Amino acid sequence: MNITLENVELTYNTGFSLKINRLDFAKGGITGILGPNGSGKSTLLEVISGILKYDSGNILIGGKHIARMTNVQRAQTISYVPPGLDNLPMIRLYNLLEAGRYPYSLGFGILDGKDREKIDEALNVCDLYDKKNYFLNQLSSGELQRALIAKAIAQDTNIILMDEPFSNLDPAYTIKIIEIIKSVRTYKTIILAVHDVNIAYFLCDSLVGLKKGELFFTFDNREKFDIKAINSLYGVVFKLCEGNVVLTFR
Amino acid sequence: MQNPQKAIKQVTYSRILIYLLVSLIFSIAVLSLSLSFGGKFINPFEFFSSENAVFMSLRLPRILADFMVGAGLSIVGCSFQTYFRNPLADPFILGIAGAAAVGVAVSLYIGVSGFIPTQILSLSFALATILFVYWAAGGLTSVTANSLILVGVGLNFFFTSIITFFNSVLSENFTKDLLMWYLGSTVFLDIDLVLISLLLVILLSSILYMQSGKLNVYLLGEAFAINSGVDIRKFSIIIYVGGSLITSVIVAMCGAIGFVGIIIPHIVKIIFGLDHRINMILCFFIGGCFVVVIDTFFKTVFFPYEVPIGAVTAIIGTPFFIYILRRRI
Amino acid sequence: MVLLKRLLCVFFVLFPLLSFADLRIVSLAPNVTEILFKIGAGKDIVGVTDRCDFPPEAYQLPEVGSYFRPSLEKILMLNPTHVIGMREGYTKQLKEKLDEYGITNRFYQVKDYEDIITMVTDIGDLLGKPVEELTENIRSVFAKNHFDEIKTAVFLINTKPAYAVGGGNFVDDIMKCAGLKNLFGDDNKTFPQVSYERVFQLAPEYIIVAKRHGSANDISFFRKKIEQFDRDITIIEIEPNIFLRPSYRITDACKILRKQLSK
Repeated sequence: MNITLENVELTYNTGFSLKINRLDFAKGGITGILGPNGSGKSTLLEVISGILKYDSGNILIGGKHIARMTNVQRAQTISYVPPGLDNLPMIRLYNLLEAGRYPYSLGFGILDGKDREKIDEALNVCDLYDKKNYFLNQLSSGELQRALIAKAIAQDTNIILMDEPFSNLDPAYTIKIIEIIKSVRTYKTIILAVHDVNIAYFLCDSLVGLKKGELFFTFDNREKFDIKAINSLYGVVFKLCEGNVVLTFR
Repeated sequence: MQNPQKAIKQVTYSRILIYLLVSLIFSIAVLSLSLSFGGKFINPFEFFSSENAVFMSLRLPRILADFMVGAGLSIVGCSFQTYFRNPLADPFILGIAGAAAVGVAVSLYIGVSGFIPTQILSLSFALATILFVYWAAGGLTSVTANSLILVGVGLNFFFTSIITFFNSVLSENFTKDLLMWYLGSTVFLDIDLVLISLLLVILLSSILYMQSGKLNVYLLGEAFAINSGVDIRKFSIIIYVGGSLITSVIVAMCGAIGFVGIIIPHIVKIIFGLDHRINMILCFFIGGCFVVVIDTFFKTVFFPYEVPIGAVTAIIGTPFFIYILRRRI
Repeated sequence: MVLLKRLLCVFFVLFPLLSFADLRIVSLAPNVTEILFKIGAGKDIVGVTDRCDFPPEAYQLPEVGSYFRPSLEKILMLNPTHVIGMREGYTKQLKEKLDEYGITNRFYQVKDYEDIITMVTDIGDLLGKPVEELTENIRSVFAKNHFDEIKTAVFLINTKPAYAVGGGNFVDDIMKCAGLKNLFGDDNKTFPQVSYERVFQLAPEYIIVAKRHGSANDISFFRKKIEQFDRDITIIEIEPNIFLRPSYRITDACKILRKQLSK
């Protein structure tokens, strides 16, 4: 499903405002959102996912107004992966994934056979099947991050929004998560907010740059990726070196 | 509990039904056993004989009221702890007990000494407070768990100082009556009134229980709940208004009986886990039975002295709670 | 007509005799217990509260619980014909229940000594006991006394926080009876809460303090202050059970106070 934002505006009482005149996310593929801290990456994802209400404008998902969708319809279309959990309740990993199936079971959230299949599938994709009975506080932060992604996969939505899925992870876990994302890219639209320009460059099919709440650039295919635009977005110098983006120090 | 090898038990409708039935049968057993105790032991087979009719007419409303207090406050405490993300949240945290106490104080002051008018006055004060807290916390547009709890706690202090002020300027008798009310009592209640409020509490508790699935999702965070299709505003209103109504009814009937609403949910959650579909049922029935047993125990052991129930729940409950807490750490 | 007269005769002569034949009284207040024993109904009492300590025979009787929360179940187990107590706190609900079970009950509210006389008279009527002698005695002691000089006093029933005796109640009457002017007598509250500052400001000649658990400390505090400011105040300690109970023993209280003043 493609996502279109038209004249979306949102102002916080802190003074920060997000203004997007027009932004399209094509169906399928991975879009990376780049931008310095406080540029509105997370806000943009939260607005698309329906967690934050925006002041004016339209967001269309597959041609449908997001404001006219019910909570459940939206939850069956978009899943959101937060950068982490603020507090870890004393529940098991499996219970976390059950939350992903809530839009399909509703009410008491009693799961049926299909729901359990989806959960098992998501656990397998994220290589967490052995740990499904672990409590959340027994998981490492990499496992927890994968668990959050597994929840989004179990939610079985066309669109997955991920907010900083690589923050605070060691390289091995980062590569593992990149592999998970690549394994689901064929049938889902994925939007990532990322800090690591190298990962974005390597992983994404298209890139969006945000600065101070406004669009800075959009590259809708890999050919158009422009390292100079990224440099001026951050105000630093990146160099392409054997296909990798390397930050240079002066 | 933290044993990852232990396989997770899936919650199914039949499992919920089993929990419900087992707790129901257990509760009925506890309640009927409690009817036997008091100043005079009455054999369960002689409950309906005419010579015991008087005692039964005294004990039945009392035990049902005990059950209502424990069950209602526990289930409200259980959902409030999750909803407010605060282990210290209890049914009285939103200022309802304070409001009801002010209602009682006013009725004592203006002299409506009747039993029912006092309850109506304290109930209406509590209901007005529910609306006020909701309005002050931001109304329909921007009410959040945090703003509710802040307004509630602030209001609690306000009511406490009103009561203290009343206490110091009015006579000694008044102070005594109010203290008596605060300690809570389930003694002189009419069976009709108890049955009506018990039904009301059961009804409202089932509405709260309908939210158990959403509470499970909400446990992981508000953003998480929204992304799982929970209409957070509707959910908030049901938890807040439903919980507050239960509390208001109980407080107006039996006074501010503390402790049950905060400790029973913790004990149940520690032992049975955080799945609200299970632990709300258990909170309801265990909380109810706890108060019934405590009240029956104290009234039997100290007979003929009436020990105010609000004062003694903590005597038994706290050591047990600390034991559970220590065992789990 | 003859038949009717006979019936009336049965009603007025026999029925009272019958109804007083087997009395079982539960007393829910210490002052009621005192009065019952005094008017000769002591043998009919089947239950008292934990506060009923006078006369000593009251200790022998079964208790129905505390003064503030008597146990209705225990009262019913004693199978009483009459329940007599004071109107205080939750008695309204207790009364409703007793009415429901058809037990004769009285709950009195007492302000001044006239109310005590009314109460004693009513209890006498209720139980068919003569009380004229007793009420006359109270009346004679409390009837207008003439004193050559009226002394001023403050009566503290509690010291922390300080509750004084206000006007229009029987303790005020006791003070009048002993020739004292209650400096808080124009306060319309029965037992107003007062500040120590006000007590010293009023400069009474006597401070009467009810002996209670812990009141000794406060009394020594008063003594120190009096010495410090070189005031001419005498402190009188009294037994609260005699002074603060609305029973016939207020006559004793009056006499005790007079004796203390003449020292």
